[in-house]
Amino acid sequence: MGIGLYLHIPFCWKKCHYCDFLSFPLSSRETLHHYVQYLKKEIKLWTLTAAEKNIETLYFGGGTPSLLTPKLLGEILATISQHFPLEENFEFTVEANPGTLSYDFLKEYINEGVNRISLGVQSFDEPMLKRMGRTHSVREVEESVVLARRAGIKNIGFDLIYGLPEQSLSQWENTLKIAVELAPEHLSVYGLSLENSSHWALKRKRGELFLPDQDALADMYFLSREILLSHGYEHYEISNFAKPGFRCWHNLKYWKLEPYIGMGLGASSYINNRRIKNASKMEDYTGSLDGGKLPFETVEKLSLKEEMSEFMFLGLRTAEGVNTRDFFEKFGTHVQQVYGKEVEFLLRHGILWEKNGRLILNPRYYPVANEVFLRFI
Amino acid sequence: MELQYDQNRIRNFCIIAHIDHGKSTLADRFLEFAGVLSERELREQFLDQMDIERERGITIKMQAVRLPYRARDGKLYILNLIDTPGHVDFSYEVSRSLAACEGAVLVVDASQGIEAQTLANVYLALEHDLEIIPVINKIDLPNADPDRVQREIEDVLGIDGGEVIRASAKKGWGIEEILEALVERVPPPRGNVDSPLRALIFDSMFDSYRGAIPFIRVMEGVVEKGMKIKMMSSGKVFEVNEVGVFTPEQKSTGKLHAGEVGYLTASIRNVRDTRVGDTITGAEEPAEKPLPGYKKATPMVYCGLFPVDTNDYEDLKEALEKLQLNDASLVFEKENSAALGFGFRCGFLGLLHMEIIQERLEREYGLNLITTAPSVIYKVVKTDGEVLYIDNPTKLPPANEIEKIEEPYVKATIMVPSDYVGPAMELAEERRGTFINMEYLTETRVVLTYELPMAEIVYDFFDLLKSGTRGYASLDYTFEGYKESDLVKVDILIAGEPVDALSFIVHRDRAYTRGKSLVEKLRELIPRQLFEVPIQAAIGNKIIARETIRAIRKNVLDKCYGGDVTRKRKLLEKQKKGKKRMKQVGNVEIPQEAFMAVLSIDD
Repeated sequence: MGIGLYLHIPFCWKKCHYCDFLSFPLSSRETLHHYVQYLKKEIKLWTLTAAEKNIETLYFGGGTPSLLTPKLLGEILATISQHFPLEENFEFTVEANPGTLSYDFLKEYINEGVNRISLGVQSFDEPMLKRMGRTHSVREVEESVVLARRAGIKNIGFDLIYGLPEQSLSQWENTLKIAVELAPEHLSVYGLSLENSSHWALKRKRGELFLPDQDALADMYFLSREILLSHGYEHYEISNFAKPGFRCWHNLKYWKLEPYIGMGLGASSYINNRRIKNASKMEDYTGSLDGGKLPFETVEKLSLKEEMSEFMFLGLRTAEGVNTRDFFEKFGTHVQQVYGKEVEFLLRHGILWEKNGRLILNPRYYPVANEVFLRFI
Repeated sequence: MELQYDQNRIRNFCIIAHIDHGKSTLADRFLEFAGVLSERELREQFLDQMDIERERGITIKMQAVRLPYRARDGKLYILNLIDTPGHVDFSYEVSRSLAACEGAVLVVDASQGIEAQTLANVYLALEHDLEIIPVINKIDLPNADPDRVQREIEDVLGIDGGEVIRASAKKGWGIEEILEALVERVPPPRGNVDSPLRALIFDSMFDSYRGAIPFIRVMEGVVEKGMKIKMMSSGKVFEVNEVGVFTPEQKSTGKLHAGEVGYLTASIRNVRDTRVGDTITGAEEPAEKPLPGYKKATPMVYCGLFPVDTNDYEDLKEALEKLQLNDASLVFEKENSAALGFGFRCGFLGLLHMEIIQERLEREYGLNLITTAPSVIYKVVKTDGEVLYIDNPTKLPPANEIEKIEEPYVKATIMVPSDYVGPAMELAEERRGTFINMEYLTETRVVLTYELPMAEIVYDFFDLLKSGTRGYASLDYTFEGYKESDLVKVDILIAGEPVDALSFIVHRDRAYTRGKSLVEKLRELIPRQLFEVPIQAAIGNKIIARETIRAIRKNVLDKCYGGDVTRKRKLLEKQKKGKKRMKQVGNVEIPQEAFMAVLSIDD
């Protein structure tokens, strides 16, 4: 079992209206360059402390990691390969915004080893894209796909968001239909969630934003499932669909409680039963690294109980479900002994299924999965 | 300031007023005038000590304070103020303070005029032979009409207008005049210092270090430190550790004489040994007869109190016991509900009292509680002749064993401006009231008297009366007796299972509408769950109303930002915590408010 490596690039051209994630509008190329130097410092520090295993997946997330020039990307990769053993043919994903990519650029990415592009498409509804504050158009998405194919990317993923303001079921259906026509290998379908202080979250608080209700959201969710299944995608995780053989191995590590290291501002790691979160303020992040220390903000050692509960609620997100033998191997005790009552109840009501020693969440309950997960908290 | 004991220089008085007429502000002015509080100590409304009292602007708990006052005759007087609660729920406590006084300051709002409770309190004061000093307060307000109010006082209460003092407690106007009137008009106490001790307990509190502390008015004789005293109702004997007065803080003086007001401590462990209304006498030289006490406060309204977390049962018990130490009118006994587990059936003076106790339990003791809908006490005569008093709908015997059910009735006095007589009468009649009398107090103020089922009053009668009369109506009521009524029990079934804590007793004519609106309300209050949940109302086996809570359809966190699982776990933990505030009944999670829903439904 190899390690996943996540690198966070917290910059965008412009903040989208719904975004509350760690990213800042990029002021200058200098800033990016400066940041990359710190990323490299962090990579070097890690080699000292952990990771005797191979890197199996590499994931550049953001923000907009495609702001990285191939040269900067190459610098980072070189540092990684000097300090970590890389598995052969490791999965190498870069998140990209449509409109930021050119053919040459993609070619150079591929030369650096990138084999998977995850496009922040979000919607194929032009006015909606504008409303969301996205910087790209529908046309640019289509162009990016064509360019990526021509350049030789064989694994393209789309991120789509449903439950957008005043979105109707047929509008969502339209987005899905255009998406499948472009035939990406992978689709992540997320419901809009507004947290804290994004522009839209504040608008909603003031009662100025009208979002679809839970029934509409559930309808959209099941429509996605129906359309994507009928186009040959597998629904392998609550929010993720892939053509056979194109599941995102990096993201699967999150759900399988496998180790991964996150680097960069505010990135999360899970290694040696510890959940680690990096500093989320830039000055704290750079300060630690200047002092020769890994920029940890919190290190939380999971208790056995927490680890078991995460194993359950993360595992149940996937179509494979929770392997009860793995549970026993990992914890030395049976699922039944820990969660007997809950599991029995859920099985009895057809919410969980038991198949070949696996506990699987009935997909009917995917959109209400929290109600199920709560029973393992 | 050491004060020589001189009975002629003592005046014991209370302030009686309708709620909101400015009693507490006036009391504060007295304290300020007497200089017993420094600026720093003079918080708004010193006498309302509890947070809840200050927030709601009401007095719940009686307090007493000693005010030294140098009158215009140059002599120093001791004025003992015994505060009284203003809300109708606590009218029983008013009568307690009255028994310890010789005079009462009657406060009437200069724009509102006489209200239902003003009348009730004046009658109580007259029964106790108190000298009444009428005060028209809030004369500074733009809509004040002191001339009209003065005429009302003359016409309605038969008090000579020349005795009325006009004041504004807020502005400090008329304060000295009131204090002078107390000295001049209120008679000093007349108890013989040489007689055997007789002291009336008008209130008590509990202090974890000093034990139960009775607040007393010495009627005759002397009580002092070291003396052995006897509670006349129980015969229990204690030795006095400390005797003192309220300055307003408790201050030891070593001795209290006939006519004085103060407190004593005597290592009394149990507050039940300081029963309010009891007489304290000397153990060695006891008085022959106790003072006329007052009848025990009888709870009018009962409800169940249950901890959301069943493990908190012992904590709830302890908290109730502690509250009872300072609130003799609170009664409770263990209750076992099939739906809610172990809790307590509690009796209260009224709905406000109930709310206050509930709020204090949650706030001061950090308890997470479920309160069931309040109920009055029904009298059930069974076919075999047995008579039961039922304070809990679940205890109602099966219909075929019931000969008849009687419910408590009150005589309600509603005072209302003549323009609003219509809506007030409509409401009273709609609430099964029987008209008794209508009387014009003045050209514009009317007193309506109705006989009403108490059950109608304890729900939302007062709120509706207020809103139907733009806040002008006031209400007072007294228990009249039991009357036969065509009552039925309505049960609520959630997911097919009867939930005992939601049952209620109602007049048959109302059963259908009440049942229907309650299930509708429950549908709103109970969140959607994994399964569809049917909610039904039933009389016996007959379903009279049904609603369905649809299954929840969306509750999932989709995105896992860069593997930030902690964020996901935290969110689930938060949701879990929210669920813990709900009560699991069968497979259904029911929020606390649902158990009170019957209170907030419209007919």
